[in-house]
Amino acid sequence: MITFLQLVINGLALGAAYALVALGFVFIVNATGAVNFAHGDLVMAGGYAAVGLGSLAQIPAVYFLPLVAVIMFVLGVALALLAYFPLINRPPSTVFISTLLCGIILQNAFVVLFGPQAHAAPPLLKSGVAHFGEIEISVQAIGTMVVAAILIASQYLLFTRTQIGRRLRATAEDRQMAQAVGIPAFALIAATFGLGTALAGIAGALLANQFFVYPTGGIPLSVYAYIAVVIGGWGSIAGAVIGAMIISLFQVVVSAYVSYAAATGLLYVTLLLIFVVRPQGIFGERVQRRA
Amino acid sequence: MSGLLEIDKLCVWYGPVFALKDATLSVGSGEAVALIGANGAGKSTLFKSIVGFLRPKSGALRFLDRDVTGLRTEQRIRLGVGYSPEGRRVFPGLTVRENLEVAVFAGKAERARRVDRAFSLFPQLATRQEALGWQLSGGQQQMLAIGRALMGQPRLLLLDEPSLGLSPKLADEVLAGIRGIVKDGTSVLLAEQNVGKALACCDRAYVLEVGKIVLAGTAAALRDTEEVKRAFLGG
Ligand SMILES: Nc1ncnc2c1ncn2[C@@H]1O[C@H](COP(=O)(O)OP(=O)(O)OP(=O)(O)O)[C@@H](O)[C@H]1O
Ligand SMILES: [Mg+2]
Repeated sequence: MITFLQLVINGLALGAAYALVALGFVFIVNATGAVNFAHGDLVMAGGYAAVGLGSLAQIPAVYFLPLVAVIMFVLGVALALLAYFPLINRPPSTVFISTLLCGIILQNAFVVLFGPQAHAAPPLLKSGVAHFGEIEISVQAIGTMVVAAILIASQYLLFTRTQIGRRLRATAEDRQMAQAVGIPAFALIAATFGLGTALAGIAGALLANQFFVYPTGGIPLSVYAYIAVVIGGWGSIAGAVIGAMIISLFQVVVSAYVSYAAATGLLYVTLLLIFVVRPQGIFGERVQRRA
Repeated sequence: MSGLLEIDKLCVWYGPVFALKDATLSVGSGEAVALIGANGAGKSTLFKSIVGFLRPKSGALRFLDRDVTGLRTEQRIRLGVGYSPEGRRVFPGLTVRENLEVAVFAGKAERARRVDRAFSLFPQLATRQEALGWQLSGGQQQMLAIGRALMGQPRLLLLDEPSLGLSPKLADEVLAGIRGIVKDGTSVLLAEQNVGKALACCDRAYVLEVGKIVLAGTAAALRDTEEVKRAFLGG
């Protein structure tokens, strides 16, 4: 029982980081309808940013996490300018390919800048574990959960309580009509790319302590983000967070009892099943339009 | 009567076919102008060109004595244009209140004031403030689209077939509201297929036929024209 509880807690800690990954992914899906397949590589970019900043200054990651977010925001806007806006009137599959290409460019840039080997970033606060009875949780895992909770809550407040959040949602729902009520939709879409990428980057910086970063490490993360969003209902922010939690719990628990390969394989089978059986996702019900 | 909106020889093409040919019209301050024409005449095309959804091939588009052809949609709107599109296009996942709020570019207090004014204009909306856009009835969506278009306190309001899909009674209410909007200082350009109703609430009108303006004049004069009677009023 204790081991199972321990596994669940490990799963939730990993899920917190995955949730940030999926959250950034779903923002961009919502704002543009485009699937950003560079997303996992942007997570790695955040990890590398933390590795780089950590090697410059020997301080805990919490001090330079805001800087990682800023760097990644700029990278996200650059991605929008390069891979999204020029293709805005093309079918979504074009953007899918263009982001995939940007992801590959990033992977090669990582090799050039950091070499092919894996790196670890400094911990958020400190390394070590905290004990709660027989359960032990790494300080990093606690930090990750706290950071993720704060960011998810602020996203929620931003989107529901502020004028800019409402405008981001309006732009996501109908870009042209948003412009027709005076909203500078293109600037908001660029900001959405920035915000989504900043979340990816923070997730990367948090993951890069326990799980290492390496040039191709982002590829499965893009797929996980995609699966989380499919599970949670395409376009649902809360659904994406829950989807991410389900994936990480599944991975941690199944890897513990069977194997990591089995966990990954089963995850992909589940994705296929959802596509066939419940295309609106397990929780999702897409906003309906009246005819 | 200074020209608020001046359109001169506007030509719009969809690929190889034209939808508007040499359309010339104007809307002055303080007037309501009707744009009448059958299905496919080009009414919506004209509105989409005014707000910048479509790029005209040639012709001039001036608003408040400014050439607006180079401006993006949101820039034109912010100059003082309100647009209630065909098909309403309310934001489906935003609440009624949010649909109105997103269109206000002013401080918080002013935002609340304008939202309240929309609710007093359309009391039905006030009772459904927290409903999502897609949950409203067609008529309520239409009211919301008009209310949203007024949130920027525009100089010119473009109404594309606001009576479409409404009961005759509700259509009358909406069209009757136009006089009040004009009195509050917003000029109106109204696209309608219901010619009798449009002429009843507007000062002037243009008749559009397959992309060309074939008749123009005061509402009173057009009502008595043989062509209008024959083509639209069934008499
Ligand atoms: N996206 C488009 N692509 C090609 N042709 C179009 C497009 N939109 C409209 N048209 C054509 O342009 C012409 C004018 O259409 P428009 O929608 O402006 O008419 P309308 O007067 O608004 O009609 P309705 O009263 O039915 O709304 C029509 O012949 C229509 O088929
Ligand atoms: Mg039309």
